[in-house]
Amino acid sequence: VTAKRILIIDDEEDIREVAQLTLESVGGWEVLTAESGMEGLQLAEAEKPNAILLDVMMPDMDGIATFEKLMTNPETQSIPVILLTAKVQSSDRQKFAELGVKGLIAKPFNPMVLNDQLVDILGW
Amino acid sequence: MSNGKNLWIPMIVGTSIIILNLLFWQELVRQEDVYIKKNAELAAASISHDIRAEIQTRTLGLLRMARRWELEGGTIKPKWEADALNYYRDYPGFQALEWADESSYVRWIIPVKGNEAAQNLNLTFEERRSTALAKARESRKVTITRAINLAQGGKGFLMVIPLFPKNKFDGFIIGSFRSQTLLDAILSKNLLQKYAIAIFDGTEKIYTNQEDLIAKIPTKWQHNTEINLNGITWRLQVLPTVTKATEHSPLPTVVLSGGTLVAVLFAWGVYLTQQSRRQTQQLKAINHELADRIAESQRTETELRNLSTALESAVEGISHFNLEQRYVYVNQAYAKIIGYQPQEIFGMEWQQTIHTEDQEKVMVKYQKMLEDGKAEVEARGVRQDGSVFDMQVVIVKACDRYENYKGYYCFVKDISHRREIERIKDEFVSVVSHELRTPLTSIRGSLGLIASGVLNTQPEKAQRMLDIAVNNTDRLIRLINDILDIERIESGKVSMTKQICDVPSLMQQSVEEMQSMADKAGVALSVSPILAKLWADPDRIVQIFTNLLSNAIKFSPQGSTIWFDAKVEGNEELSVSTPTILFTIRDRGRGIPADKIETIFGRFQQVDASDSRKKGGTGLGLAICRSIIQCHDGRIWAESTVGEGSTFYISLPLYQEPIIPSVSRNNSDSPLILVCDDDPSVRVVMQTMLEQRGYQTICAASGQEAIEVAIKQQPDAIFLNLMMPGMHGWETLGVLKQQPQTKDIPAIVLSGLMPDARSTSHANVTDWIVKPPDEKLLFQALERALAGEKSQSLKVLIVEDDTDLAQVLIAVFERHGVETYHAKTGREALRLSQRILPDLLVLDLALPEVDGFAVVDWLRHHRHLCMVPLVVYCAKDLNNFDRERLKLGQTLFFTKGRVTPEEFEKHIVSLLNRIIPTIKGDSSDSQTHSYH
Repeated sequence: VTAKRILIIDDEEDIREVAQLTLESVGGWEVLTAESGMEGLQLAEAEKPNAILLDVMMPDMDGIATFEKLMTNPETQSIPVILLTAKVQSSDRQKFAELGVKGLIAKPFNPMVLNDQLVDILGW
Repeated sequence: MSNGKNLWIPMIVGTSIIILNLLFWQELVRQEDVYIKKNAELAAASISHDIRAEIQTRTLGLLRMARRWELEGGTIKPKWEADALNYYRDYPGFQALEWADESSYVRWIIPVKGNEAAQNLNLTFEERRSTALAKARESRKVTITRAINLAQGGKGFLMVIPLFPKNKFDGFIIGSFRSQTLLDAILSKNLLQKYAIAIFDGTEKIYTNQEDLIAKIPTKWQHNTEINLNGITWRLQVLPTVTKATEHSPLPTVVLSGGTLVAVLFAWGVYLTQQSRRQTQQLKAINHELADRIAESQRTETELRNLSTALESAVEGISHFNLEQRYVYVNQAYAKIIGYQPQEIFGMEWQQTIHTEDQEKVMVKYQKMLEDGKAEVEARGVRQDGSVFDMQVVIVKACDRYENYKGYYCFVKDISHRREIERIKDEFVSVVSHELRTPLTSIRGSLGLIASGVLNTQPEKAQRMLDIAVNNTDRLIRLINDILDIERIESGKVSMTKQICDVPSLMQQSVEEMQSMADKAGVALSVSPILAKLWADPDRIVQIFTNLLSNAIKFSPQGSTIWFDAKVEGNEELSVSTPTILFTIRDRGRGIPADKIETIFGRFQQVDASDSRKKGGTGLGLAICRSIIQCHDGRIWAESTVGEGSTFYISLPLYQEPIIPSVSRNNSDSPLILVCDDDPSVRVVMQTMLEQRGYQTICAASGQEAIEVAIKQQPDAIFLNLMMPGMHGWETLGVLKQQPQTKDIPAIVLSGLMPDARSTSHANVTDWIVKPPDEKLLFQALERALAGEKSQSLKVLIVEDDTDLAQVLIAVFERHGVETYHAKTGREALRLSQRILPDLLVLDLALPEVDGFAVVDWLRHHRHLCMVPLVVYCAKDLNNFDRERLKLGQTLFFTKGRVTPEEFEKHIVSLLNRIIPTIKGDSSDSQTHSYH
């Protein structure tokens, strides 16, 4: 498995830090982080990560808006997006599934299985 | 009662009467028969007598002629004819008077006319005549022939009288009678009319008056009798004529018909009586039913009237549409919901009140209502002013009594509010779950990494993860506390413990709490209190102030100032003006956009959600503030200009003390008190308080000034602040204690700081009052100081099964020079408390063996311990009932996790300060320290 690059977009600094450390130290991935949807879009376009872990509840541009922008941009539309969210009610899950996201990982996540979950969803 | 049975009684009655009547009638008829028969018998006798008499008369006439004949020895013809003619004329019934010679030839005959046939007739030509002639000649007596056919024609008989002049036979005088003529002549007309009469000679009928009637008359009434006439016998048959027979018949007929009529009438009467009784019963039943129906209808009417009133005043909107789907009726609520006057609505079309986009949906439901009778729909309504609202509509078909469609009723409920609440609730749940999961995510992730050991070789990263876990745990605790807090305040589960509070101390306390944060942020706090009082829960008011101050600090640029002011305002809007205090907290921060100025007081409604993370808030602070303010009948709002700053306003009702004339002890005899504080507001408050109690007061703004004033004016006591610029409190105190003029003046520390371990025994300090000062404690301390007393060490018993926590608490108390004892169980607490008689009990509730409640129950019955001050420090939020059960002396309640150790310590010290005077004041009699 070659080292993949993963972009984490989350407005919570602590969560970004924990997720980043998790993916780096447990999975051995290369990790990029963005603290807002806008920054995430720019990074995704510039860095072309192999996958994006996207928070949903964010100020200004939320995860859904960010995802839609990613999908309409030809530069980024092929990047698989996984939502990392606390909104995990069945109604939310269905809504997200309809949007066309690759997968959904619930917060709080278990850092020791986060990698495995990602690998499963992305089929790596 | 069946109809068949109904007829029985009249039938029996009728039949009985008819039978009786018939019997009676039968008897009458029988008697009538007897009577008729009797009459017939009498008639027969009379007739028989008449016939005999008349014939006798005629016989005597003929005999007289015969006697004359015999006496004269034969009568000459002319004389005889004259004689005979006289007889013929005098006695009707003669056919002829004749003389026959000894040879029986008829020689003379009167009248001649009509009797020519008998002239010279030999009477012996026929047997009956010859027999009679022979008999008469032989017997020389009057003899009558049997019925014969007369020579002149017709039936008749001959009366024969032999003539024997001088005993020599000389022929016969003969009377010839046509029987019909004779009898018609001699029988009375009256009888002949009433009776049918027949006379027979043997079997030959010689007479009848009514030939044809005889056969018609019942023979039962017939009477037969015999008439003997000179050797012959006639049989007389008499029958009453029909007229005669029926002459007396009306009675039985009348009786019969009358009786029958009576029977029928009786039966009818009985029937009618029964019928009438039955009808009466039916009438009664009908009456009853009618009465019921009337009552029912009255009830219905009343109900209808009530219903109508109810409809009119119903909370839900109710309207009625006609066939053209136009309004014909609306109630008040309906009119109000759609924002019209009721009379404006009549005649309007329904489309005018439904949002155009929803009209099709409503039409579909209208069709459904036509089919099913009822339909429900949620749609947007349009008010008169054009505003749109959500409504729930139920339409119900209206029909007349013949089930003809007459329009429909429409029930409308404005559900905008409900929708809004649902939306807010959903959002709140969603937001809360997000808000709670966010710190948990960091905690779970960071601790998971550490626990897995992957960071074992990277200690600095492990430490970083630990910091994240700790910070987020704090954040989670704040969040949970805030969420629970706001829920409990808004649901009224937390009652505000209101008391009279001094405005300056509330403001000062809040500022002191936020000072270090302001210092860190490089922001200045400027506070301008006023002398006023509030009826409020001081802790809650301070909570609001600190919250607003911390917000202001967070958003203030470095180097700027936050202004915290208060002023009294009369409430001009109300006639009975309730003065209020208006607090303002003004910052120079980035400001709040106009569209958020209202919503920021909602839950999780930060201007920028990321602020809460960056600034360490929970997003609930202002919502809690608003809830608390509402519990105090106050108001909170904000004004702001983006880029220039925000101002938060809190308006609370002013507490107005009942006016008590202050006892002015402002004379030279009253003690002189020196207040030394660099804060002018504190000096003002202290001076006011002291002077109100009649103390003379002088103030000093610094330590240096205090020393000078003290030397010059020799005050009786000094209140000394510790934290002062220039010479601080301890230095000042040191100088005062070295100066011979001032060394004996008692000094009371008045500070925001707690007494701490650094000044172990506070030897030079008479008392320690923590700001904001409790008025009562302050004066008790002052009085003790003036009386020359000093604080002594206290004994505290800590009852806590968690040894670690107990150690922390012991450390806190020992820092303040308090003797501390520890009990791990309830039983131990009871034993120990009896031995040491503590001045204060710190009690956990969840204890082995005997729990905290039982400990309190037991202590309540102890003579010396029933009023011991108590601090309940437990993990559980207590309700008012629990609190009541746990009260001993002064009792405080703290929930573990809700108060920081620092806050706990502060409250404990404050409590200790309060209980010192109580205990020391009466230590001589109640405190016998037998154990040390």
